[in-house]
Amino acid sequence: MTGASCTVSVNNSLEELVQVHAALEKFAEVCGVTAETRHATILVVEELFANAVRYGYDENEADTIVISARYQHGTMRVIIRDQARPFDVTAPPRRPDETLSLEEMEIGGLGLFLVHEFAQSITQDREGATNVTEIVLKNAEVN
Amino acid sequence: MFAIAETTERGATIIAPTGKIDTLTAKAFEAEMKKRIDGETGALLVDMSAVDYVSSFGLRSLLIAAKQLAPAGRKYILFGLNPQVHEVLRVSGFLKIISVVATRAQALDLVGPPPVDIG
Repeated sequence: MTGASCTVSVNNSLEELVQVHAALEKFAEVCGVTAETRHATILVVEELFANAVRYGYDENEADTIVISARYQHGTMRVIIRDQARPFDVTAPPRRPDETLSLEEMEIGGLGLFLVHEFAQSITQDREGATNVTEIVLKNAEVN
Repeated sequence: MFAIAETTERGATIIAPTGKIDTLTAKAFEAEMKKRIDGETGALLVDMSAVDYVSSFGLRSLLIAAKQLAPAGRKYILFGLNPQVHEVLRVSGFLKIISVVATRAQALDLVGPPPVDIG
């Protein structure tokens, strides 16, 4: 028993998020996961995908990014494979400073923070030129 | 998919975006809010009940609107968030700096008293 899984391969273009979202929405529905797990899965993938696409490539550099999700024993696991410039996403990002006022609060920089908030673990390996980023989501299914 | 509806009540503009506020749609949402911020002078209420997803770019657009409205002392209230969207705002510290309430009635109460019915 290896659980249910889905894989979606897309170009390194932000517009592809439509397809990525659709695939993950459908997968979450098939697995019958909670709304929490569905939202967290899509969020984690969007933030990492958007980061890689925005900062990981030279202009007009084409790549194929492969996103796989596996759901087993109440746990959602996501693997993203890309050939972007390596960037360590496992380091804990800066927490938003909750003592700041609205005027002081900075716009942006929350993406990676959200990934860490909703992930139970984040690991990253390099296989040749490929970055393999694996995220295990916090288990929201026990509620 | 992204759509937005608008109503006015007690002098406040209420906008109701639909769908996802994400990397792809946040700019359009931001532009829609900017239109109301620049073109009107009252409170801006955002009915989030038909928004099923918000990512960091969505948060960014919500924060930009808050920053644009604050200097003029204009109220900015979000209501009707689903639990997942509420959680994204909570972990990001947004609940401390942006007014978020459960219902449209609660949001309108923060805007001001209902008009007095002069019999």
